[in-house]
Amino acid sequence: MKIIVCAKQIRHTYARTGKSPESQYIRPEDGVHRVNPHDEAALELALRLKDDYENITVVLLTLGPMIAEDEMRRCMATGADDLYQINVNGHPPYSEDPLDQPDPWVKSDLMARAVKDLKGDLVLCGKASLDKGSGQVGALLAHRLDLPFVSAITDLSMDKSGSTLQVQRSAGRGVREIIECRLPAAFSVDLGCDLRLPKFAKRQWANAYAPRHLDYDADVDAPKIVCTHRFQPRPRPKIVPAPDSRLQAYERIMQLLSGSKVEKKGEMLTGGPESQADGIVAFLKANGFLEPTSADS
Amino acid sequence: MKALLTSFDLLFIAAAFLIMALGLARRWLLWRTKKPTGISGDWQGLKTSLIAHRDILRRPSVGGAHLAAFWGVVIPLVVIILAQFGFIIPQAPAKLLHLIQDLAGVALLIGILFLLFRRLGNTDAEGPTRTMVPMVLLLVILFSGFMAEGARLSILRADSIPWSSPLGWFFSLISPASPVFMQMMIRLHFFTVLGLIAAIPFTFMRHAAASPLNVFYRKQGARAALTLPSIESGEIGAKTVEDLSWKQMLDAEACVACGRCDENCPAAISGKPLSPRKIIRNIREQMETVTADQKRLSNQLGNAAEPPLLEKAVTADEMWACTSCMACVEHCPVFIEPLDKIIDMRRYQVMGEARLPAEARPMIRDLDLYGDVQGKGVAHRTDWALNRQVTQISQTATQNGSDVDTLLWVGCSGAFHPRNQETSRAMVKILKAAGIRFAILGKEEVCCGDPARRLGEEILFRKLARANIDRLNQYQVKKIVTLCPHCLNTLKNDYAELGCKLEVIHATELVMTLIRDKRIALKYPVADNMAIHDACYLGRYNQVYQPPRDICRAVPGARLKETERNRDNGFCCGGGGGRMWLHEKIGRNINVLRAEEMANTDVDLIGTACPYCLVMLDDGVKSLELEKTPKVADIIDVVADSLG
Repeated sequence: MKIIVCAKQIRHTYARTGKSPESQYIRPEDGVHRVNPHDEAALELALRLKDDYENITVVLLTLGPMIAEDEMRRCMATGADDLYQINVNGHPPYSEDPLDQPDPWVKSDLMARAVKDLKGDLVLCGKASLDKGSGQVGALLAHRLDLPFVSAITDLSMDKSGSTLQVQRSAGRGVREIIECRLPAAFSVDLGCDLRLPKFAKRQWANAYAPRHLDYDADVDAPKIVCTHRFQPRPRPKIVPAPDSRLQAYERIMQLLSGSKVEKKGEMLTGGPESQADGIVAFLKANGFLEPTSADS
Repeated sequence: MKALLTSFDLLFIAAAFLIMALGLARRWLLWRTKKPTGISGDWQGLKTSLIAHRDILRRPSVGGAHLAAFWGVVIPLVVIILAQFGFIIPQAPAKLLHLIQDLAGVALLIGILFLLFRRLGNTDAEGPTRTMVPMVLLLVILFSGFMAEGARLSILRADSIPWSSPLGWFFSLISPASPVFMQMMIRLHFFTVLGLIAAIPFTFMRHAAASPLNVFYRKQGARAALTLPSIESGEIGAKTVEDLSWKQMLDAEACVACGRCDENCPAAISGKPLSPRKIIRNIREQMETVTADQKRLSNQLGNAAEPPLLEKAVTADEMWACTSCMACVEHCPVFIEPLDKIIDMRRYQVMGEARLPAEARPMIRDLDLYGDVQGKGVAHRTDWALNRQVTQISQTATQNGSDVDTLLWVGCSGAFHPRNQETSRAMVKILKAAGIRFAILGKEEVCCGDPARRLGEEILFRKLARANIDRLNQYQVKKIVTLCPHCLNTLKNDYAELGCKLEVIHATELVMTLIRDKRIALKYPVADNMAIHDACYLGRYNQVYQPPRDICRAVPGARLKETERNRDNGFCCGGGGGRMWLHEKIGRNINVLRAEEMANTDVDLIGTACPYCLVMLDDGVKSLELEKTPKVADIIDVVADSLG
């Protein structure tokens, strides 16, 4: 039996310490490259099944360039048998910016081909990714492969005959469901299980392992949806104790809030009231808030 | 005993020494396979620890008895051996020598009787074994020697007490004036001595050979340093005793199970299954099994059997209960270190078998991904310094650290824990008041790696250490002041082993010099009665005991009270060795025990110098629910408050 675990390598941006809105308040050190934690949980469930039954191989499948190669190798070291990487050719260069990623329809197309080629019996993927968070790929993959699909599972077991799976699923608000399902199947996995650590011997093997590559150039589906903008929230205010308590209240409040002080877009208008009013009108017209009137033309 | 030896006697002597040598050689086989690891002999240590018994005398009564017994054996032995050469000595010095001989016998008698009654009254199941044979032999030797002396005096019919042999005179009152009896006693004396010599390798007296050797080969350099395995060649800690170095095996051999480690081990005291003495005994037993197996199999022409796993003898609960406080190492009179063996076993469990306790795994994962124990990430590492005008070393004019005197190493606790962030800010205030040009690494700093290393994750430690060392080299840092004793120990001692030798001092040391040089003046009183909690990694590991106390004395109006256990006897807060992140399910909580002791000292303020101690003791003091809860504060906070 072959279990295919889809693992996404992401740049996880955990902080916004930048000051400028152009860079979305993000600096290079604000993120780490890692494997999506939900996918790590999926791998853990697969490995637990492998511990309990013989003749199970666990294959990792990843899409796009190896931006978190060390972490990918760490996943291999925890017990996976193979790693396949799908090159995304004929598409915009796959970068770590979520905007540049292919849409879930395209991703699921590429991955469905890989699952067919690898002849997987069970497909596990994370419930959602930390960078994009659409949560669609697992479901679309099941749709394309015409497999039964259960979302957000937290536990997985197989009966002795090896044909029926029993999964536990969190239905939200603490409600749990036990679902039975026949193989082949596809599940998306939620966080919850304790992850294992790699052992030294396997770690050495994983460091020397050469990932295999898959190329699907021809007849890749066109994207169905396009994300045009992505807005980062402004950094949350940080409460910073005022260093000098002898200052005026206004000064102290400004210091207290300085932790979250960011530059804002726009410019301060100067000059007399007339020129400032002109400036406002010009800004509104330039941004399309006011229709140019006939008087202007 | 002036009788010269017959050739028969020489034969007996040779036989006794042959038996001893063969026995010791068999013991030596236990750890012969291991290569020495850069440890040189230490004559100085032999002088203070063997001749003067400095470390044994830390327990005065039993130490004194051992001192008496040691010299009571050594002096007469040397004198009698020299006497066989028939030197001609004038009357007076000969008599003086005789007196010394007699007094040594008295000392041995008192010492051995004290130790014997102590052993008889002892119910400690883990205590020393096979002690009775040598003790009885020594008593027979004493009795026969004095009886022979008494018989000699009776034959001479001395009327008054001869000043050169007072005890011999007492024995002359009961011994017959018969030369035959004297000869019998001398023979008995002679053969018992030979018996004792031959019995050395097989009884408790083995320690007479192994312990001085262990003192001689004691570990040099940083105190309680862990072994430095070469990960690349597959050394991932101790799976079996075969993975230990010969020094570690000699440690196990030299142990007499005196139990001083147990009496000072915070885990043992708080009711956890860990006993450093038992760990050492387990290792020795496994060494014996391995050697016996090899011997049997070499007769059978088979392949060597797999040596037994260390985890069969040492359970996970024992291994993970260690707070790495170094009390066992500090109190061992013959410098046995159970600590490095425990960490070696942890290493194999973590790296080889991936059996890190589940509660510590998220922390290790955060360390790996984000470079700090809280998983907040390097991007947030300078949040504590917002609004404080703290220079980052990358923002200095020359960018290479030449316009900075001191690098302030903040550490994970100082950067992220809200309580310890206060201390970091206090340190900045002090450094600015003293006009010191300092900088921080800021976002280029990652965890020093201490929690990973003490939990056995050596691979992760190397990764973090490499990142930090590269950064320190890049900025040509010369001098570092750390806020956390764990960072201090890692940067100063562990990084030095990895090739990064720097001048690293703790904040309390720096502040003390600033106060002494009058660069800062403490103006305001903070508390009336203060007590100092000695952090293990500051005190025992790095011998910084005095600066925190001097600082307290410099605070106006403060009185320093010492707790019952202080300085090198100091009791751990329970947070070291990665225990900060592990659950404490068995026995009492170590931090509560310590907090109780400190609260009983009747103080207003407990001064610590370590972020872990601060958090652990604060928790402990509050859980006591006292009427008047003492405040727990870092000494750096106290100084900053006193600055005004």
